[in-house]
Amino acid sequence: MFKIVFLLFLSLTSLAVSASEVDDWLDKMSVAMKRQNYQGTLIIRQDDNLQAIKVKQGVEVGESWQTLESQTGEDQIIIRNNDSVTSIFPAKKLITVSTGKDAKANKGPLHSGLPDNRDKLKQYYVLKLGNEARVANKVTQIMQMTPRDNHRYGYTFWLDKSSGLLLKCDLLNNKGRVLEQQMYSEIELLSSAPLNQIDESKLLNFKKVTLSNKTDITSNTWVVEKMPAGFTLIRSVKTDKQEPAYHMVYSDGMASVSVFIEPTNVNMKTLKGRSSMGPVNAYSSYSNGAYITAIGEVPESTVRMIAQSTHPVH
Amino acid sequence: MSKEQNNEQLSALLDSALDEQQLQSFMQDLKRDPIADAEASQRYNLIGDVMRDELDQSSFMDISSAVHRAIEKEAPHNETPVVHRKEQGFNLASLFSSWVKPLTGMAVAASVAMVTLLTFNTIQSTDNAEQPAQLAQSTPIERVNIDISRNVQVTSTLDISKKSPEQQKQLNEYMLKHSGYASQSTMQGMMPYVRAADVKTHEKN
Repeated sequence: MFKIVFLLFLSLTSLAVSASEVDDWLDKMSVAMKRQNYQGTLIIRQDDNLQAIKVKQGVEVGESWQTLESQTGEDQIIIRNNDSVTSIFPAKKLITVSTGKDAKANKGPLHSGLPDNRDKLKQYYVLKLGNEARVANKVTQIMQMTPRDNHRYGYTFWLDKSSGLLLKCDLLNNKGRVLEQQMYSEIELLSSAPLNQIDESKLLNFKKVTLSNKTDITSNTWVVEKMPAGFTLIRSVKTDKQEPAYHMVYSDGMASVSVFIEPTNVNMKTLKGRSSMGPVNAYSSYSNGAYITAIGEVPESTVRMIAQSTHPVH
Repeated sequence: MSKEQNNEQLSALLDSALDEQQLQSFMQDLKRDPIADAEASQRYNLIGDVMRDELDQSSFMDISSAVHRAIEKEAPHNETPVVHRKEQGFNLASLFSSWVKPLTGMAVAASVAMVTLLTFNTIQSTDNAEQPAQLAQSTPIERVNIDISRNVQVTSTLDISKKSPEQQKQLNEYMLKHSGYASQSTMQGMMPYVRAADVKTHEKN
């Protein structure tokens, strides 16, 4: 009897220790993503497609910024900072800038943080620590997030043991197949912000377009009836003066889904059915005089369920 | 038995000039010093093959014998010039010979192993050259496969390419807008943005 109680105590203790370690790693990862200065090359693999992106993150007093420069395919530079997102397309001599209310989501840190949504994550994902492995010449701790249902994908993280920074991430479907891999081939952790080497003088003759035609709304006239458990509305914006024109964003803390509702007189051919871009799925349907498109890094069945169950509030 | 006598018997053995008794005697002696005599046997085997013009290409792929030959370049044996004449691939070994000598045994073995690999490739190329039709066929197939894989990638990961340009434009805009919010609202941080970086935008073009 004593043995059984002792073994039970031991197993409960080990579970508690393990849960605590997972929490520690989540905290460490969250802090590193917000505060760590670094520069490196990120490799993204989707099926047979490989891309390389040069990433820099700088964190200075009251300001954090990030630049993503594509090294393959179309030349593109994305610059994110506290209150704006700038996209540069050198081949098109085009710069788009998201400012004003549209940039509201970008205020504060670049990343949504833990631990606010830590408990929520555990409701929908099983979090486990794995072995150590080497990525970008650094020792990492492997952490797995397995979804508890089929409405979302799973993740495997490789976190730098010294800084907690995410160095590799696999996105997995419910059969465990890797849908996408993102991995730093090389990364340099810095004590101060890296130099931003974008030559702004070369951008003087570029066409600048400001994307700020959205207004946050507090009450929705459209609703998603069948939303998977855990996904909550985190943003809702009016995208145009005409009706209906909305962009609603839902998230469970890891995955996110956008629902776009457009009037039928939008100058485009009807979008219908499924589309995919790597692990991002989209499903479009027509309902109540509007085109509805659900898009997100979730299974196709999830975006289909969401799009088909979106309708006006009556 | 002295080493000279042993070597003579080895030569006779390789030339099939030993009778049954001499062969038994030789094998007994061989057992006494297996390592030294195995080396000698290997060396003489190679010489015998060369002398009888029965050299097999596979002999050149035996790393250990190649090591021996490299080491023994200090006191060249008969086989060296013959080998050069026999197999063009081994000219590489002679190119390396000038710096092989001062190296330690391990380094020699490693360098010769490399030469062996190079030689092996040369031999393979020679074999393939006898089948130009197959070679010519395989090259374009490889290229086609690359194209196919790219097409598959476009179809599978950029399924939107099946849509009309207007539809693609609309989906790209959705993707970019979604990425902007997703990166802020989830623990994934920049990942959605990274995906968006590959989306070709038609925005305000």
